[in-house]
Amino acid sequence: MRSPLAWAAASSLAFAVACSAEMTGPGGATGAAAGMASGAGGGMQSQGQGGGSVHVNGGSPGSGGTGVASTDGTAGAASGGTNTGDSGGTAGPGPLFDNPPAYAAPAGMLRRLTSTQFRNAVRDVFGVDTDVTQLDGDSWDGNFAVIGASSVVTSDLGAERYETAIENAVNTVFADATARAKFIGCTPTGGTSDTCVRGLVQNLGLRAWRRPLVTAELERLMSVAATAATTLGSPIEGARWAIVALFASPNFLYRPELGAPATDGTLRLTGYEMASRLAFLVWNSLPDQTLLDAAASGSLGTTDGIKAAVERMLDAPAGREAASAFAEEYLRLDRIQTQAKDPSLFPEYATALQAGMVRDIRDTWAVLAFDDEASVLNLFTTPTVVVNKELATVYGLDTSGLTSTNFVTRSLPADGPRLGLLSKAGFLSEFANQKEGSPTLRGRYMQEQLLCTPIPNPPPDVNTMLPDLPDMPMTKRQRLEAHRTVPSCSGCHEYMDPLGLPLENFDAIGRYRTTDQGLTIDPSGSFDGIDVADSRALGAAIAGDVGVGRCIFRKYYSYAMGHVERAEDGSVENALVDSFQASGFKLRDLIVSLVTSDAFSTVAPQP
Amino acid sequence: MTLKRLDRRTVLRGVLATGAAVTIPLPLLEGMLNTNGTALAATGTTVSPLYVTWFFGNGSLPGLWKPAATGAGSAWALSEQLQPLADFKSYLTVLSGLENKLVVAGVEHPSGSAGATTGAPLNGNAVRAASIDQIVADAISKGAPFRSIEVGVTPATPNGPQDSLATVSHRGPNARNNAEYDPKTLFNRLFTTTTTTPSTTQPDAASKLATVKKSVLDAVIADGTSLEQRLGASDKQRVEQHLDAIRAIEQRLQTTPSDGGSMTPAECSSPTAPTVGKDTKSEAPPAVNTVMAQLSTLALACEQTRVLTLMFSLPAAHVYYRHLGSNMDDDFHDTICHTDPGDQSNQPRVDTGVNYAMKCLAEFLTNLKSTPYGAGTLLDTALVFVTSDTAWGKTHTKAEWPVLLAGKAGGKLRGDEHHNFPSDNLSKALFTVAQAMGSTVTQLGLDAGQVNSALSGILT
Repeated sequence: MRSPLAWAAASSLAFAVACSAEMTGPGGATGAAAGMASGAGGGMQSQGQGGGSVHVNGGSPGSGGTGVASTDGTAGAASGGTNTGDSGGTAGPGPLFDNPPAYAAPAGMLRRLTSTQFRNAVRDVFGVDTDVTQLDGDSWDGNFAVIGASSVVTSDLGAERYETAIENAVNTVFADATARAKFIGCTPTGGTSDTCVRGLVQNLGLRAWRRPLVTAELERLMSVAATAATTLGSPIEGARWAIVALFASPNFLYRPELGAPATDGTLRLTGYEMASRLAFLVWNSLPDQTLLDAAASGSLGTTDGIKAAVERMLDAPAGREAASAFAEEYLRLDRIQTQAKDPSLFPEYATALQAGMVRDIRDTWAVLAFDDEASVLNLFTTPTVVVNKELATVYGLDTSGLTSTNFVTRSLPADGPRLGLLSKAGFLSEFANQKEGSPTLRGRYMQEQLLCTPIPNPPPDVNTMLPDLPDMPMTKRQRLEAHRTVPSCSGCHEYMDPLGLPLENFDAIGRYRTTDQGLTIDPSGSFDGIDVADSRALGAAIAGDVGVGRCIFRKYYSYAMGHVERAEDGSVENALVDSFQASGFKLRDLIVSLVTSDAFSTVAPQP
Repeated sequence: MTLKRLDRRTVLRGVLATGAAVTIPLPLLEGMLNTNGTALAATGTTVSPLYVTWFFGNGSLPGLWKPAATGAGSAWALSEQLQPLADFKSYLTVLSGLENKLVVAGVEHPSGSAGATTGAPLNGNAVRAASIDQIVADAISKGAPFRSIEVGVTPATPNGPQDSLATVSHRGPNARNNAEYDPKTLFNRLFTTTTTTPSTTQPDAASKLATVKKSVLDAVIADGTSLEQRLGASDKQRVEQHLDAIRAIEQRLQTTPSDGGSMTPAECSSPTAPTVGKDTKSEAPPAVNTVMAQLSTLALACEQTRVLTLMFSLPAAHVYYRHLGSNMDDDFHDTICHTDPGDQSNQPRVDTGVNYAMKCLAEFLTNLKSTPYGAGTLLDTALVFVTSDTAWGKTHTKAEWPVLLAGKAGGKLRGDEHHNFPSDNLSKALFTVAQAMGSTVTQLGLDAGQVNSALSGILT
């Protein structure tokens, strides 16, 4: 059974804060944050992200601590749902959550477009690329920006940046007379009765705001157009500034999903709200006309209608975003483009390689989900990579015919040292500092995000002094092992380092290596009590563990629903995870069953 | 006083040069003073209070940070780590002995950052209260073009999920004010009107464009107001804050320099743009500090804002000070602070890093001190609150938190003092700052960080 993390059951474990030097990095505090959410919850849900200890299944109390709650409940939250309680195989391990409380719909949300969604929407409408770092920063909740989007507050600087981004996009289109004429599609005449601009605003508005404009809104924009046309002496300017106003509006930037009363008294998403939720989940962008037509026809109010819509969306090229955009958030690929590396050690680490790292992970998820229609567990053993010239070089692949900007799908040698998601350069580089990879951060990510076992906060006031290390070359493994001789360190590091150490054959940007500090690397480690010889064995062990598939399910469920997992989600999750597992962990099947579930389209009133 | 015409290009080119140690001469502002030296001659307006949070990540070496003796004037001497501030001793109020009661094991940096700037614990990834700069902004920013400005020297970060690692300025929960790290972008924000060229070349194009943009923003505000009617209380508040930001943009449009009646000196409206780019290697280079210190000084001097946060480095910054020597080419947080041998008084590489941070602070204070403002200088008017996200980085101690006030706060601080408050609540320093800046809050912080009084004997 999976190693439990139970402070109460291991009260002698003191946590060395100094040991946590590395844990302040990516994901380093995710689990801790989840623990805090349950402790400090002022105004938030009382459950931590782990789902709480109330519905933990698997593991017998006393046999090692699963389900043993610490005084603040974090350990219970930590172990919630990781409880496959079996040793792998394909047989279902029973319900994800025992005796969950009845499902209760979460309150309707007002989500801000994530930076990526904003960029995608602007690209889809204007054909202009926006630098996501020049927008307001996303907030991350439950490790997802699409969840933080429901609480993030736009800063003064952010509001300026959104406005500027829209003006720049419109200017780009309007700077080219041909593009402008094509975009407008008719000849503006000026004035509030300009039928050309009126039609443009109506059509564009339907897409931008994901609903028809009401009369007052349309007239308001026509007034902007008339003012601009008159003041600037050109009907074209009227069109320009009406479009700017349309996209600078909160009705573009924020997604209200508030529902309307159904005959049974519940609040159901309206057709247009459903179209918007589907579009941003599956395409990570705006709905198209067909989807908006479906909303208008009422067909998104029926299970069959939703199913037909989502199947069409998944078949479309943008449907691959249902996997890629999830991967981008799940693996926090946003960090790759902002992370620096030591230029003397890694001169190849530049924009093109970083772009390759991101694309490789995004596209590999899509290839497995949509081309191979494979289990998500195959991610951990797949030879598939998607490379440009720079990334192919890191992977030691033939680069002939490749450039920085054209990407091709290739297979890694089946007998090579590198296979699967965890040996991809993007993953390895992200969980590393400027000079060296971090087994602790890599292991922590796996423990928290693949095994759904947050590392809880340590007890307060532990002795945090570390012994100084001898002044001699040591491998990272040796240094970590020295730290783990301190009992206060080993408590947590035992759960992270053995998962991360098999990846020691890959350096801070994911290049393969066999030595560290001139010493031969020992890449052995362990997964769930099984010793693994190296990263390939680790990948195989993970791929054989249904608990990982079930954990990925929980992450996707949170991502799709847009909120942190609650105890009240247990019954819905139990049903969905069974069908996901029965499908062979195929992401596409999960998405269809998820969006056609009542939970996806039901909300509660906003407080 | 003689009003002297100055070539603004000459002055500001000097201001924005980089690399050299800088004395910002802004005699143009002196030229704006009336004969009493107390007001801007152009408008007769008295000078505004000014506030700065100056933040550095990863703490200090408490044994080298804390001055040995308390008292005023010659009774106390600067500690080793405060030596770079020697020129400003008469402007310093060192507050030692304070304890951050909100540090949480396992998330010491994020909780330490939140405690030191908001006086409140975290709730998951979010802070629970506004940071001190925003409390001050509530008191003094009304009427300023920008409510507050946030500036960063290096974006180096551990990349953790908490809001309090990403910035130290928070309007409130989930409302991060992220720093601008690119000097050119900051310059454009402060000193040029927003974006774009109109497709017209008429001489009054700017004011016409402002008219059009105002109509756009009015429509945006009307849209947002309608949206608010459908929302519960907290989402309504979110939209309202967005609309406040839109109103601020609109307000600035109406006071574009082109109308000739601007309160700020004309020299402030078109200075020369900086040429230094942002730090892309996470090393907090001197050139970026120099230009950011200059732009921050200009933002205050030109009354673009009265509240500014200058993040020299972020909490737990994974910064690499390669430029300080080959022996410093390691992760300052991971490797140098946490694994270098030594105690609270003896980690030589940590000392080198803190010393560099204080030199960078000194550069900013030099700018403030040499820029005339009202009857004195910016440093006479301003209060610069200096703090960090931990006391001693190696083990994340919470006692002896580094806290320093620089400037005279318009006379509210005497300067040249060291006060020791053993184990007293760090939040009281925030309360003291709020009171010095004229805030009328009667309580600050939450839970163990909640206080309702200032530190005694600090304010005049």
